[in-house]
Amino acid sequence: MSDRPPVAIVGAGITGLACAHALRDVARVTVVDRVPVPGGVHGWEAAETRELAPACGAQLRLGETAIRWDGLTLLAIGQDGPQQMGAAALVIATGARPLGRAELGIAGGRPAGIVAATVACHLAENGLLVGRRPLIVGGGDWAMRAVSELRAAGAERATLVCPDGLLRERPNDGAVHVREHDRVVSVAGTPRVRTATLASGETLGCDAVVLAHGVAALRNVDGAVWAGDRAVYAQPLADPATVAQARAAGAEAAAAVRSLIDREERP
Amino acid sequence: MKVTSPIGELPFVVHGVSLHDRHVVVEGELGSWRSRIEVGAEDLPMLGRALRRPLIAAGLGLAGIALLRRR
Amino acid sequence: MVGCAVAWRLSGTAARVTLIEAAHDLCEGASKGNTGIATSGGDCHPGTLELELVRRSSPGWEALCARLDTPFHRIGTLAVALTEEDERRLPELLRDAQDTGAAAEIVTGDQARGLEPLISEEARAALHFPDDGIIDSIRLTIGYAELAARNGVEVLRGAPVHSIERDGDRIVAVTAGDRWIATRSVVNAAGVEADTISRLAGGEQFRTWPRQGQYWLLDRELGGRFRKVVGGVPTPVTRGIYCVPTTNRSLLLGPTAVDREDRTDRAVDAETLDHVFDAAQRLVPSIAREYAIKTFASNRPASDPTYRIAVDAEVSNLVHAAGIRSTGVSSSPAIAEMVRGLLEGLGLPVGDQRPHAITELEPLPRLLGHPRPEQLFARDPRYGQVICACEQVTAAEIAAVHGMAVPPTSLEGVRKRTRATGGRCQGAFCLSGVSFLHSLHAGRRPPQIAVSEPEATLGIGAHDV
Repeated sequence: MSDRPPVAIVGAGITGLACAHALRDVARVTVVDRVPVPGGVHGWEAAETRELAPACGAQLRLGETAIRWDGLTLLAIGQDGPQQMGAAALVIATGARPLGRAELGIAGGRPAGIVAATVACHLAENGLLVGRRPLIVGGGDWAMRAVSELRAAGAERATLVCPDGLLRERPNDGAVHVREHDRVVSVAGTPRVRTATLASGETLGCDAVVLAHGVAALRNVDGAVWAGDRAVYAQPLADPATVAQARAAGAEAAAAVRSLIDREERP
Repeated sequence: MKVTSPIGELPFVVHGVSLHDRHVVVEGELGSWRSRIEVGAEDLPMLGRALRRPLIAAGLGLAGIALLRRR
Repeated sequence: MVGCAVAWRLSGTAARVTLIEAAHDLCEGASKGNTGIATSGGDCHPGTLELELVRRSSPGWEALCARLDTPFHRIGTLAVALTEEDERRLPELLRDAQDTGAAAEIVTGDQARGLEPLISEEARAALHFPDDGIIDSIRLTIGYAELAARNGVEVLRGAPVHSIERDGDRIVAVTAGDRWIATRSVVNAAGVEADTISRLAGGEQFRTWPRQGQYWLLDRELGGRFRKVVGGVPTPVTRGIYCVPTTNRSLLLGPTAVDREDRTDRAVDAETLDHVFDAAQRLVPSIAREYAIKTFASNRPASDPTYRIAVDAEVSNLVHAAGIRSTGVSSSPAIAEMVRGLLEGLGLPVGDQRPHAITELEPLPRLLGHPRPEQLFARDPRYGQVICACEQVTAAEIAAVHGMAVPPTSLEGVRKRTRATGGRCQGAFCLSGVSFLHSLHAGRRPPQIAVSEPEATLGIGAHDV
């Protein structure tokens, strides 16, 4: 009876945990995440995380960052130093981020005050407000979270510019103005941003531009950044990304891993 | 116990509290990171302010991690 | 680049040196926004000072960069002819190159693709400059300054020069920031503001202006596949657009070359960026927008004539090192030596090296690509804490740069010294962690954390609102 092959999953969010769960009978799974708690963007306190983390059957190596894959071995590094993990397949379930300036085609200089929504929210949670009059680009979950966190942290007013329209309910907040189906084409100001010009031609005053639109996969394991030898990508690229989408992406990746392993085991 | 940090809110689980050299030492885990907080008499005035300043509270936590590393 | 190189060269002599920078940090102008090519001079004009200084600098890069903890790789450049017209110009360009003394040869399209498989099938021939190199110009600039500072050079940042006092035809003092500095000589390496410095000193009237270049930065997944710097065939007006694999394997496309008026204008525009992208894609078809990380503009200091390295005609102790337009990186060591010679001619004590002068920097090991991560971890367990995952920059490296002689005072400063936040996610996941560590090491309260200039703070204290 052959031993189950080892599989390494980078990312202990719902996608990674769901993938591990789906592989638990056919592989010895290790899940690595640079954050010291499971749950990814849905959080360690979410019901799904509390359910999946203990039940997924994998060894969780949390607080370790996966840095290199060579088709055979994953190198991760954490508080106990570098760890090599042999694996028959690698799953990248590292999540996503909003699109950056260059990806959004925002022209102009590079003044301070232009940050990703992820940053604006982290900072707001830590008592630092990126701007009193922020302009937020996006209409999905990241944008909604940024609007509410920045207003809660003391932003006087916020403008939401939604290139794909509002994907969530319109915020019930008189200090939030919405521009649907428009986008930022350039910014100006030095050393801090002072205005943003929209495709519609309007120029708005602002002291921060928060990028919360679109979705790009997070890629940071050298050797498996875009494509990799025996690497499978599990990224529910959607904003909002629901738990159901994450679980589906995890299950899909698990199926791909299974056929990879089967191919290798057949002579 | 929860700590707000630059990477989000993390659970802090206390494994032991002891006294070393007139410092209260709290050993624990910040998520899965081994963590240690040393609190001395000189910290008491700051603590009162820190409870209103999450970033400094996180700093205490991360300073604890840094102290653990230097051991 | 030039000012730091001069400071480096003078440090270690008996002279007392003050390096004055108007911006909040060193390396904020063209020094941080360039292609990072250390040319061997094959496309410089024969008989020029530029060529002489580039040729003098070229052979020494390996040794110098080893001493300044600066990555350098002598990979060579291919100037690719895509059209019949370009191809017809190559023999003449080869003759010009041979006149410069730089190694150069014409290769066929197939040979070019053999040297660099990413080159387009349309390439008919190419001019190959095997001795050109790629260099990390930010690490070089900061490396020059770091060594200078460790040798006792005083570095003043955020100190724009307000006035220059004269006594007869000599400068006696400079007021910069809130400092008044008595001095026996001034070196003007003020880049695009060199004309302002000359005017403040009552020196020769000349004009410097920004020659703007726009660039793309692409992912190292693509840049890492390159073996050569790839460019088009240069014209009399411009070297044209390059695809440059950087020393950290990312890929730079650019630059354009447009003389402008506004020295502070570093805005990119879609039309120019499209033009750069298209030109690059014609050379290397694999170039695709999905690899794009960042776009930026930077202003090279143009002047007429370029390469004004001389004692001012009016002010007897003012030495210009100005108008170094395109090759400041490539000629910096020789410029520095030439300036030293001019100062020696003025009677300054810049002759001999002090016996205990430091001549090299201790390298700072970095986790990205390191062959022995366990050694790094044993040296400092904070190498186990990756803060910027895209560039694999650890807490150890971030801590170490804050202990430099010229430490970062802003997040941009941290990026220049470590590359943290400069990777493909552009800080979406690490900016808050990096800013926290910077505030810890630099002793700044969170609302004081500066992105760049001190007034460009990352945010405002929510509780102060």
